Amino acid sequence: MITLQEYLTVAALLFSLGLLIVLFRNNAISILMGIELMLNAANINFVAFSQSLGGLAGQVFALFVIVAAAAEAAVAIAIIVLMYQNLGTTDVEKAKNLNG
Amino acid sequence: MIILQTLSARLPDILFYLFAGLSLIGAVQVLCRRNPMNAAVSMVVTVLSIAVLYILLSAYFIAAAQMIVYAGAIVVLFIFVIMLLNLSAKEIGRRRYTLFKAFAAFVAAAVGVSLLPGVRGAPRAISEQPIDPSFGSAKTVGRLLFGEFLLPFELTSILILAAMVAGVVLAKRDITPNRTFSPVDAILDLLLKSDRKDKSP
Amino acid sequence: MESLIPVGLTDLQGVYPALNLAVAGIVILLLDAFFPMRSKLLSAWITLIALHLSFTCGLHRLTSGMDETFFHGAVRMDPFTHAFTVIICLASTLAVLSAPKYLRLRDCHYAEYYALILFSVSGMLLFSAAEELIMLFLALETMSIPVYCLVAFTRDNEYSTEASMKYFVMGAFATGFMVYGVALLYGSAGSGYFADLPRGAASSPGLFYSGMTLVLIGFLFKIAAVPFNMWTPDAYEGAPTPVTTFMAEAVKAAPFSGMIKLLIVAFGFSQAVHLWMPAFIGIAILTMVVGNMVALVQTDMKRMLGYSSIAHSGYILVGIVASVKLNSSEALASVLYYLFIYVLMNAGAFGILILFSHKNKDTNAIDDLVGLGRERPWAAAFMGIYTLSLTGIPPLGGFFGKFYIFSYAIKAGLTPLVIVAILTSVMSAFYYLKIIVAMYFREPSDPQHPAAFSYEGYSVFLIAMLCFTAFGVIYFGIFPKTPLTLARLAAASLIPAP
Repeated sequence: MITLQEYLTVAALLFSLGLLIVLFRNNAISILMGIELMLNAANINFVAFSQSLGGLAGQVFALFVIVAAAAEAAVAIAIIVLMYQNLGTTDVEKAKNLNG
Repeated sequence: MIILQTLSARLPDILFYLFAGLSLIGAVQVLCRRNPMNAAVSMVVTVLSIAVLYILLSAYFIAAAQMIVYAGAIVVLFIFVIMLLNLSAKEIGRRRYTLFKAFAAFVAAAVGVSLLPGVRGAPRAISEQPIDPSFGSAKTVGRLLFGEFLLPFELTSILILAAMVAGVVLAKRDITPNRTFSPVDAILDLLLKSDRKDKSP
Repeated sequence: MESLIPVGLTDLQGVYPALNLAVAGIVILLLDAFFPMRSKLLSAWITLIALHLSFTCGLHRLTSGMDETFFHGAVRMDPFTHAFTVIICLASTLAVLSAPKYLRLRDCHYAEYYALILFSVSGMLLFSAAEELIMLFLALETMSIPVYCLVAFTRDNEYSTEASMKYFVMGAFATGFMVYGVALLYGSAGSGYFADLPRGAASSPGLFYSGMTLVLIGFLFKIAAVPFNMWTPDAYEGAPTPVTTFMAEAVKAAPFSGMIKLLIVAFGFSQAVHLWMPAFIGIAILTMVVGNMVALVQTDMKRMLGYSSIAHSGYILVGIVASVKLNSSEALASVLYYLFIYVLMNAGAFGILILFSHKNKDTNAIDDLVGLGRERPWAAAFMGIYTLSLTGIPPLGGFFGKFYIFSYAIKAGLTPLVIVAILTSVMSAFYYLKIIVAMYFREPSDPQHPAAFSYEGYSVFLIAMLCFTAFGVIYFGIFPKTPLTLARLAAASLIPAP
């Protein structure tokens, strides 16, 4: 019998995996994928809660998060292309002009 | 026969474990694959499996949106950029192993574990049957979007417009218009004399 | 028959300050598309007028004490929100005033700049008004996404590209935490409205506290508190200076509004929020110590001001902790007053850097300012006022801001925290004084060729901005009554008097 807990566990695991991708990968595109996974994990939560609470608000929230993720991805891709043009790399660790 | 009956009774459970597992495997692949293309395709596996989970949760409209927006737009955009920039496996595949990263992994694990008490404390179970056959359909979700959540919905239009403008500004090489609306310029030159000497050729 | 889209004119009037800015942004884009002009000053003027309208509307509503909810409770326009409307519009106006000439020097004076600023500010205004979690999240996104682009606005500059990438990664990372937190909060309470959250804490505390922690972590990223500040100085350094001004003020002040509102309205109903105060105190201490220590060794002004703005976040956190502990609107008013003064003095300091920026090079190093006192006494005097105020020297606004916050912190029994704050303030005097010493007392290393201080970044806008900020820092320091009264009015709407 699948309960809410199973869905939340999957979401928590996905969130941690996304976090690991952001922290471990150097490449801007991979980092972006990690961030998208984190947002997806949150969306699983929204939809699962929506079902278990019997209210549709959670699904609407998930829809908004999808929209925001798409907008974020569009800008990020533009920044990545710009970075490749200017710095010749998409590796955030190789970009060391600013000593951070 | 009995096996078939139990199978069909437990079909949602089987589907859940299948696709939850697939989505996690996809995510692990995104983390581990050196080849950027493989990572992007694993991402597709993950987002499509998540869409199936949404269907199991009777969120049909969100499942469709997930497939169209994530698999159809966002990941395609990733693949497009990987092809466009011709990123090699070496370029994209390097991973960082330092003390700081070990610490970061620890933090990630800690976050994951700390979320579990919250999970265990979750009060309610998933209801077996949807309360209402129209639950999660485009119509009911749409009613909420244009009713209770009208302002957030309108705000997303500003958000998307801003993202669009941002994308164009960053990606387009030359955004100076090649023709100017000269009557206005003439009036402005008269009004704002200080600006005259800075005209671009 | 019910109308399909239940929105009335009153709803639209309610969100007028944000709506006005969004419409102005669209008008700018359309004008630029159909009537392209060489000079973008028209866009700048439209931006300034729109910001001014929102500013006066906020001020008017603040004085009249309007307090209503709109759009089915998605936003609440209370005096606290109006106060942030005023602060944010002021900060953005100062940032916009500093922009036109600098962008023209960099050959990237496009109308899109102003449109993006306006969209971002309209997001901020709705952010401070949000009474509902998803509204909060979307407003935060609307506020951040244009800024990612603005950081890279000088498109062929590799520094700003790198800064933009780093800023994006940080921002999106914070967003990820926040959304997950919002999901857990929604799950515990069954609704996104702040007013319903207490129900969640009662019925499923595990979910509620995990969610609350994640949301607060997201906020701490946004205000660049110390363990979460990794790339903020890089972003400040690499961004075009007017954008840095915008980021260090408006983008910094806005998250505080949401954070204070959540802490006091949504989480403050129980004693549970006090469980988090030790963590907040630790973060405040770290933020003040690390921000000030690292600023000491910087040679680049923009980077130094970046670290100093991190340190100022620490002082504001002290004020927030004090007002949560005391549950007093007076203490919260001191936070608002501090934000107001901070906006003025920080904008001024960046303005001086813009004034001396050259065609293709910024004047950012502290060494570049050597001899400024002799060559350009007026500019040096202005810079002196800002740095002294940032340090917290008595007659200026910065001193009273810190003084009010610290005195309420002592009242709240946070004496060790205040001792750390005062010690780090003293520490900050060293690097702020480094600027003054460079301007007035150091001899140029090559006396034959003293640095040429040409006012290449000069514009009427910038001079107006500098005069206003210098005047404000002095005037509102000596006569803090008006802003303090308004701040008390605003704070009282969030924490009713006992």
